[in-house]
Order: sequence, then structure tokens, then C-alpha cells
Amino acid sequence: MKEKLKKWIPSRRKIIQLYCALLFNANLKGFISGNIYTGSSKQFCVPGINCYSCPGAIGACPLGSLQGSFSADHSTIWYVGGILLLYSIMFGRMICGWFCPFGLIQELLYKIKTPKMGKSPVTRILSYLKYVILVVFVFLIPIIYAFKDTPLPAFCKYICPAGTIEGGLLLLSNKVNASYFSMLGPIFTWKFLLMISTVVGCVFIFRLFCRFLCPLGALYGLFNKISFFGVKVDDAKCTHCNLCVSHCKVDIHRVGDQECISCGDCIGVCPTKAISFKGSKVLLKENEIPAASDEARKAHEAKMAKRRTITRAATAIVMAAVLIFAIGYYWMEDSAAPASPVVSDTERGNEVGDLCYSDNLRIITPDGITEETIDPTATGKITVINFWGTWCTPCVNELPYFDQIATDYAENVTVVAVHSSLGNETAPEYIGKYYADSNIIFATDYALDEMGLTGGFYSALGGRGTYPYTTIVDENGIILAVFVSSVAYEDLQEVVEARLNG
Amino acid sequence: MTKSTSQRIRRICGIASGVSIAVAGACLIWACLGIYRSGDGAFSREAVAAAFSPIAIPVYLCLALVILGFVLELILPADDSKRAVSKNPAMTLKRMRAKLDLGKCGEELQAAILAQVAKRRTDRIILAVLLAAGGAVFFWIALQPDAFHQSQINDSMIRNISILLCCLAPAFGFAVGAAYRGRKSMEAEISLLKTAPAEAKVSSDVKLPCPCWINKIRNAIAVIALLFLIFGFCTGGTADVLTKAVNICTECVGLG
Repeated sequence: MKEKLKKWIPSRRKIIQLYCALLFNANLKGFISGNIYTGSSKQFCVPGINCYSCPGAIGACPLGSLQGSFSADHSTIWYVGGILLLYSIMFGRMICGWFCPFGLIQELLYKIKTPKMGKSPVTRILSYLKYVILVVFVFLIPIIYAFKDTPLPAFCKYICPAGTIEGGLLLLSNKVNASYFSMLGPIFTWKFLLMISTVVGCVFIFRLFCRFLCPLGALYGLFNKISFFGVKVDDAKCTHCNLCVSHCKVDIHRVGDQECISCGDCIGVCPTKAISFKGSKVLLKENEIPAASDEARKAHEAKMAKRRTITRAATAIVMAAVLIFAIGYYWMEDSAAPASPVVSDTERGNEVGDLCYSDNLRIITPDGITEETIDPTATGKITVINFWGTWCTPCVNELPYFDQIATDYAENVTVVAVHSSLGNETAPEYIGKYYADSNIIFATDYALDEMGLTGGFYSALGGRGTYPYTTIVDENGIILAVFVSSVAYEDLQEVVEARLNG
Repeated sequence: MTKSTSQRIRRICGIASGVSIAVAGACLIWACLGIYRSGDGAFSREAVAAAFSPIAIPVYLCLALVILGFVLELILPADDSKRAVSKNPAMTLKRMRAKLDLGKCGEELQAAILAQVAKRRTDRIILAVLLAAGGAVFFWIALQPDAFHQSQINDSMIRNISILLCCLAPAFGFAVGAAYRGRKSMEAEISLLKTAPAEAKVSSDVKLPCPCWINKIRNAIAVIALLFLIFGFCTGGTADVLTKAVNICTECVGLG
């Protein structure tokens, strides 16, 4: 009975994995409200893959940040590069084995009792695929497109199954985000198929995503041999029996190589006790007193056991306290709530048929943000109000359609492109480079809160943190259409023509 | 219940779970494709529900089998004594080579061993050539001026990825074949090494390089990482990370 119970007690690694998954997603309120967390802790990257569009996420995803940094201000590359380098040199792929929430999901899927596919020469070859993905999707494509002023996080957009589960499905599953269904199309279909394939594959193949696809693991793996923490082999004790490699479920050639996730499962298998964790002597100080006699050895072992118990208990208490504090803090904080409407007029709203909320926005020219203002709901024409940002791929891609509609219907339509004015974006520079002679009126919904994060007008019009976002109002300020996500020229034309033709 | 009976039950349940998971996965993919094929951007909560409701039974059946598998795992004892330990021929070969002086093996054996080594080397060279050629063709096509259209970014991406996959497919196909050939070749070489005469076997005391340089590199990288981090932090690098993290670029998380 005791043995059976022991089997159901999770290992130390599983507890740490679960702890990290909870800690990185401590904004439990987000899962209920369907809003993502928008507080300042998101400026720090967590070590594992954890999509920052997950409603529970309290930190940024290092891969998403890295891809975004190529098209952002130069200081971002230093910051994200420094964080990634620090994580890599500290832990290497130990992060995959111990801290990554998506790694935990995969291991739990693998626990489902089915026939399993072991490692083979084919899986060894497939393990190199993640390096191709790292080079092509994380570095090459984002850098090439950054030179064309188009931010494109290719891995997040086309591959990442963690993003589809945490960012996509968790947002879609909340009824407050029902409008997001209207934006689903080919990209979602592809990523959903990929996600299902990955999830089903993980049931049969151990850590399929980590071994074959994860570029973050590929990056961390490069530092495995020189990282401060991880698994090491004492070559003096090693008899090269190969039991460790045979026992390991990932495609290692040697314990501690670039594929090793430092899970430590091989430590118990080694007959000569040649494998241990790096830094374990520093943490446990097992060998500080040489055992001169049997009595001295026993006394020393008892002392060490007592010290180990105290250390473990203290660590568990501190970790539990941190987790409880984090969950409590993010539960109490109210950062995810949308800003209150600019005009507290009960007759105004943000849905089709409502009289639109209004605000005076400051106009942006290629020379900078001016003192001149515009109220987009009172232009006397049909007004297309588009919220965009230079960091947002679909926003940048759809701007030509707005430019075209502003030109084709110059007499009847005004296009106001409201820039998000976030971070280190250089909107005037971008506008000067690409839309200097455009008919679009560029404006900024100048930050209303202390963090400079959320424009009040955007929130008043129903924006929930998703970009791009477009609202079309008629000459009387009545909302004709609302588009969550990107639009095509034909969508805009249809609404405008319908209004013009009565 | 005997161990063999419980093992048989566990195996049957495992196979049933595996098949049901594969079927459920295929059903989900089929439903997803059905929604996509319906066209007109027909993604709505109702459309998704309508497409997924017919496949609910296989999915629930799959879940039931999985739960049954867990319960059986708890009730029935496992017999791990027959678990096969796989051998990695590369490691075995490395270990055997370290204990062997090839010069004392005799000309015939030496030639046979070197022939196996040459076979694997040839495969590696062909693979490298195929990879380089595939990469060169891809970059030549992808860097053409008409390969990128800012207003058709998704189409151009899909086109470029298709080209990349086509360019790398020969290399991948060859790599799979070479892996099996390599394994067979290594096994053949191991059996050859086993026939080596006793005088060719030597002591395997291999002197390992001192790992002192690792500590220096490790510390240097840690210092560089901290400097990068501090510089980036002080010059406002966190602002763009925050911007990306607190706003949802819909297409970037796959909602598009």
C-alpha cells in the first residue's frame, strides 16, 4: 500500500515543473475574465515557453520577445539577448526539464498509457530539425522582414503550438471573446492542425515538441556543456556501460550533451554513481567531512540527513509563500480591467448601431506628434477608425488597404489611423517613410494611464488588447461595423458602399 | 491474477488507447478541415460547435479508455523484467575503438573496417552536398525581388515555406536512409572489431582535457550576459517587450 501511495506522489522534478507552470501563470483571474494581464511584470521574460497572450501569463515569452526585438528599438535586442544568454549560461536545457510549462504538458500527455515510440536513428535526425527552425523561423525570417520594416515573429505565427493552446484556445474558450471567432482563418486552421498533431504525437513520443521542434531548447542546448547547473559525468568513475544513454528517453549521445534536458533520471541508473547534478556539492555539502570511522560516518550521515530535511522544508515553505503571494497579488490587482470610457454618456456605446464614443486625438505628422486634434466621430463623413502599431504584423500589412479606400472614396470617407503609441515605437518616422503623401489621417490615442499602456479611446470603442482593431462610423457618429483583427479592402468597400447606397 | 495475464490486459488497453487517441486526433483534424473547407470565412461559435459535435463520441471514448488505462495501472502490477535495453551502436563502437590498435589488426580486417568507415563518410558528404544545394536553391528563389509582397505576406510566406520544404526534402529523405545504412554499417563494424586478434587490444586509459577553460568561458559569458541585460534595461529595452506582451497581435498567436 505504501509503495502504491509512493507511486502517486509526484517526483521533486514534477513538483518544480508544476510550481513553475503555476507561478508563470499566476494571474488566475485572467482565466475567468478572458483578459490577458497587462501589468509591469510582463516586461520580464520567463525562462520557458509560455505564451504572453495566455490569460494567466504574468511574464513575457523569451522567444516571442526575441523575434519582436529584431524589428524594435536596438536596446530591446540587448535586453532580450542578455536575458536569454543569462538563462542559457545558468541552466542550459535544465530549463526544459525542470521549469518549462509546455514541457510539463508534454510529459503529462506521455503518461497516458498507450504503446510508445522509442528513440531511433530517425528521431536522432529529426532532433536536428529544431536547429533549422531556430535559424530559419526565429532568426532569418524575422531579421529579413525587420529590414523591410515589417515585424514578423515567424515561429509564433506559423508554428508555436504552445501559443495556439495558451494564447489561442484559452482566449477563444471564454465567452467574452466570442467576437474572436470572426477572425479565424487559414493561419488558425494550420496552427490548430499542427497543435493537434503535436498533442497527439506527444502521447506516443516522449516530448515530441522539445526534441524535434523547440527552437528555445535548441538555443539553450548549445550552452549545456558549460552551464552552471545541469548534469555532469565523472569520467574517472564512468565505465562507459552506456546504461544512461539506453535509459534516457531523449536523443542524447552522451549525458549532458546538447540534447540532454538534465532531468536526472539517469542518476539512479548509473551503477558506478558517476552521474550527478552540477552544483549539488555547493547546495548540499555532502562531502564536507571525511568519514574517518564507522561511528564518525554514521554521525556525519545523520547530520547531513537532518540538514537536508531542514533545507528542503525551508525551501518548500519559501516556495509556497512566494506562490501564494503571487496568486494573491495578481488576483487583487486590477490591471486587466478596461479603461473607463472617455465620455460617460449612457447613450453612447461601442457596438454596431450605437452612437460612438468620441475623443479628441492628437494628429501625427512625419515631423512628430502635433498639438492639432481631431474627433474621428465628427468629421462629417463616413469615418474608418483603425487602431494599429508598428510592432503589429497584420496592422502594418493592412495599412495599404486603408490608404486605398481613403484615396478611392476621398469625397465620402475619412480614414483615421490611431497609433497605439506604445514602447519605443517611432510612428512619425514610419509614417514619413511609407505614408508621407497618404490620405490617411494619422493620430495618436495618447496614453491616459501612468504606464502609458492603454489608450482610453481604444478601450472605449471596445478594444480588449487585440490589434488591429477597426470601427467604421457614419457621418452622424453611428457605428456601422466593427472588425476585430485584420480586414481586406473588400470588407471596407462593402460597408462604405452599403452606407452610400442607403 | 498472474503477471502475464495482467500484462496482456495492460497491453490490450494500451493499444486500444493508442488507436482511439489516433482516431480522435484524426477526427479533430477532419472536423477542422471541414470548417475550413466550408469557406466564406464561416468561423463562428455555432459553426465550430456544429463541426465538432459529431466527433464527440470518439473523443469521449478515447478519454474513457485513457482513464481506464490509468485505473489499470493502479490495480494491475507491472512486469518490468522483460523490458528491453536498447544499445547505441555509436557509443559501443567508440568504446571498442578506444580499446583497439587498428594497426595490429591485420590488413584484411583493417581494410574491411575502413570500408565501413568510408561508407558512412560518403553518406555524410552526400548529405552535406544535398543540404547545401537545397539551401542555395531556396535562398536563390527566396531572395528574388518578387518573392516578397508586403500586402500579401501570408501568401508569400506559405510559398517560401513550400519551396524550402521542397528544397530540403531530398536531403531529409537521404538522411533517413543514411541513418539506417549507418546503423547497419556500425553494427557490421562492431562484429568486425569483435574478431580482432588479442594483441591488437590495448588499455583504454584516455587522458581527458582539463575542464578549467570551461569555467573561464562560463564566467565570461555570464558577465557579458549581465552587461547586455543592464545596458538593455537602462536604455529602455523593456518597453518594447512590455508592448508586445500586454497587447495581442492576433495573427502572431495564430488567430488569423
